[in-house]
Order: sequence, then structure tokens, then C-alpha cells
Amino acid sequence: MSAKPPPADAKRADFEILYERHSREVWALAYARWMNADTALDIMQEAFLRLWKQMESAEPILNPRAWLLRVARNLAEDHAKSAFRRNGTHPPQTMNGVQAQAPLPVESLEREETFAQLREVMEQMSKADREILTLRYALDYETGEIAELLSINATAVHMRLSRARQRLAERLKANGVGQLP
Amino acid sequence: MRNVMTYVEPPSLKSSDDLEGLLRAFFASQMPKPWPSPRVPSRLRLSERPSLSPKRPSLIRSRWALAASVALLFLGSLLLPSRFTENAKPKPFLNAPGTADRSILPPQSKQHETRSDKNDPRLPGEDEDHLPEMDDGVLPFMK
Repeated sequence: MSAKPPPADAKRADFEILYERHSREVWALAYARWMNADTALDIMQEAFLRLWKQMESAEPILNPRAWLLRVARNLAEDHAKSAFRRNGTHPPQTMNGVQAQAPLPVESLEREETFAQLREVMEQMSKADREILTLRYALDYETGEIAELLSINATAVHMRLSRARQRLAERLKANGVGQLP
Repeated sequence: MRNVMTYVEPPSLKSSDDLEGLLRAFFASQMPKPWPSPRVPSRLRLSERPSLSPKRPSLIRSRWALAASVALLFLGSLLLPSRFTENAKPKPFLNAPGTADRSILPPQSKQHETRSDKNDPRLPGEDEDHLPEMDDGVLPFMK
């Protein structure tokens, strides 16, 4: 005997709970892939839109978190292909023109410059390094949470994190990036 | 004594704490604020609305066919009795049980005699023998 589908309100409530729990990590993984906040947001929203449609179809999802992360990764890769078609080998950021805006305080300008350099350095790093750094410092995930998400053990997390930090520090030094102003 | 310019290295990240602080501040600046709501369609979904049309086109056709058949049957039941009353007078069912005794009926012309009633729509020579056989109490179209 098949169970009755849940009412619309219950489905909506379940969806909102899943969004609250997992939207940030979906965003973080998409950001680690593209180092672009807007792109990461689009990918995250699309992933949850697909989740909503899946829930509407009444097909059960055994592990929504794993489903979301898999969809987000696939969307991020699809975005890579479409971006290559649109922009060639240039990353999307270089295609943006200079935006006219009110002059910022000096400290803000220095901060933005530091962040721009940091982003540029991270774009040169491997996807795995960016991913583990994003999970640790964007989401403040502990070792156990990162291990569960990446399906590796805690020792591997410590090792990868340590090496990623070391590589980043070396590249920043080579680029002359100092402390925060 | 010559002056020697001392080369001063630019400030660098002295400790991992500095790097961690930089990374945290960087990601905090990148994350959307406030955190956006999910971009899903409105609350009322297509699945919640009553279906306005049947899913299978053949179902529509069969329903129309049934409705047309019932309408034709109904119209026929209205039109047919009037046609019968125009073409022929209703005949008593002779010799049928429960019918009136012939002896008390007004004298009628024999069956083979030509009718002289000018209101009789039947053609000359047409008599009841040529009328279609009918079951007792049953009209033809009800068979």
C-alpha cells in the first residue's frame, strides 16, 4: 500500500528546513569552484529549484544533502562549459567593466585590493585546495564536518588543510600580499 | 662612510593566525548579506490546482460521443411519436387481451373495403394489413 503524498504545506516546510541547513555549504562549494559570489549564488538557487521540482514530483530523496551537493557540482561543471562557450579562456571577472561608484575610503580600497589579490591567488590553486579552504574559513566547519562532506577521514582533512594553507601563504608572499590593513 | 639604502622587506603574513584572519574576512565579504530566500515558484503549484482538462484526448472524444448519442436519442424520442401520429391513426389492438369488445364498437368498414374518410391520410387501398406488425403496446422505435 503506497503512502499518501504529504500536503503542500508540509512539503514547503521540509524544503525550507533543507534550504536553511544546506544552502550555505552548497554556495561554498560553488564558490570554491568559481571564486565568484554571483555565480555561486545562481548555482545554489538552481540546485534548490531542482530540489523543489523533485519534491513536487513526489519521488523520494533518501539523502537530500548528498543529492544537493551532487547537483551543485554538476551545475558548476555545466557552468564551466557554458562560460567557455561565452567568454573563451578569459574568466568571467575579467570581462566586467570598471563600475563607476563613489570613491571609497582608503582603508576600504586597500582591503578590496588585498581581497582581489587573494582571490587571484586562490584561482591559481587546485580545486581541492580551494574547496577545503572554503569549507573551513567560509563556513567555519570543523574537521569532522569537512571529513563527512568530502568523504575522507579526519587525518586527511588535517593534512590537506595544512598543505593548502602552506601553498596559499607561499603564493601570497610571492605576490607581495601582506596583512590586512 | 657611504649611505647604504637598507632594503626593507614588505610586511608579510607572520603567522598562520594572520592568514586565517585574512581568509575569514575574505569569505565573509564574499557571502551574500542578507542571505537570500530560495527562488522557487509561488506557493500554489500546478499540482495543487484542479485539473481543467482530462489528461487523455481520447477521453474527451469518447465523452463527446456519448453526449451526442444521448442527445440524439432524446431528440428522437421527442420527434418520432409526432411522426407516427401524422402518418397513421392509432389503431386499437384488436383481439388483444383487455381491449374493448368489438361488438360494442361502432360499425366499421371491413378491412378490405376502401376507406372513404377524407381525413384518413392513408393511401387508397392501404389498410391495416399493410401496416407494420407491432408488438402489443410496444412502439417500433422502442424495440
